[in-house]
Amino acid sequence: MALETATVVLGGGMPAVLEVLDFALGRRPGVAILGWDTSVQGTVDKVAARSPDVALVCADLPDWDGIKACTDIKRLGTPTRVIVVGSEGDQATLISAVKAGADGYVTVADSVDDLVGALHQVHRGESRVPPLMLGSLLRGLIELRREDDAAVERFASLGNREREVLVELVAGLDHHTIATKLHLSPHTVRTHSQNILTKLGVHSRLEAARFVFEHDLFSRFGIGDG
Amino acid sequence: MREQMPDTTLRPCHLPGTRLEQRGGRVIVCDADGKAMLALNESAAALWELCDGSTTIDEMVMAICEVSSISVHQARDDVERTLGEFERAGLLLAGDV
Repeated sequence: MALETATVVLGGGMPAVLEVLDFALGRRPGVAILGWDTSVQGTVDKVAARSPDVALVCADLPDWDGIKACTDIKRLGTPTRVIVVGSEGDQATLISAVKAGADGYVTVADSVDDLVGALHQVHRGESRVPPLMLGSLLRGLIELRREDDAAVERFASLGNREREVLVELVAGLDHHTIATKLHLSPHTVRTHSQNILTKLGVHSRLEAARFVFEHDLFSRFGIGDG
Repeated sequence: MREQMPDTTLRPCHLPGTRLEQRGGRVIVCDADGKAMLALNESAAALWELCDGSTTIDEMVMAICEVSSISVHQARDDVERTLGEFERAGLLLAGDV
């Protein structure tokens, strides 16, 4: 059976690497390189304009954010599949790639044959993770899910008034302004603030804000603008 | 007769002393004496690593869904089938699946 050609756009911060990939992959049967770009926006624009089957993007490099490229390509809502090229054993980048919606992850230690195999694998609709990284990837995702569940549980323990105060704290308002806005005494706002930090398991309003945004808690609880 | 559904809140745990080894390009579960007990493919080896007594079957299923294109139903079938193989090979503590 003839191999279906996978059309590919390449993205990464190093032109020399992309030129080598273009040359090496473009010569293989079943692969057609539609172009490459060294900027995230340029790569996303090429994907939007050329609708490749697969975008092969390098992971983080100086002046290049491969995870953002993956996220932005996925946000286009096109059928283009994304493979991130990262370091062998770089668990953090692999997890970030999966969270960004990547369909595959290959490593710089992989051969061109491996890359071609990965391109066709994700083009067929399958996912691709380096076998030796799969176990720790699953473990990492499970840990993240547990942290997320715990965050939701902590947030759910806040009373309605505490949630109202938290919204204002995250917005950067001071206690006096919050008190005026919510028709409370400053002392009550301070008490609520302390209780909020304790319940969320954080030590400052800055940490509280990060906690809320990291777990997307306002949106998930239908609070404010999300 | 309807097959009994496994409790997906269970936390499978492999037998103490068992470990994974790479031999001749294959991944093998070995007992404490190094005796080969079962050859695993890549997915099964990843699942084996999760059989640590703290991870529920539900957590395994959801994590697999996150990294693959398969449905929750299919992932659950795959996980339960693989855990069944571990159990039949005597690799899990009794009553874990």
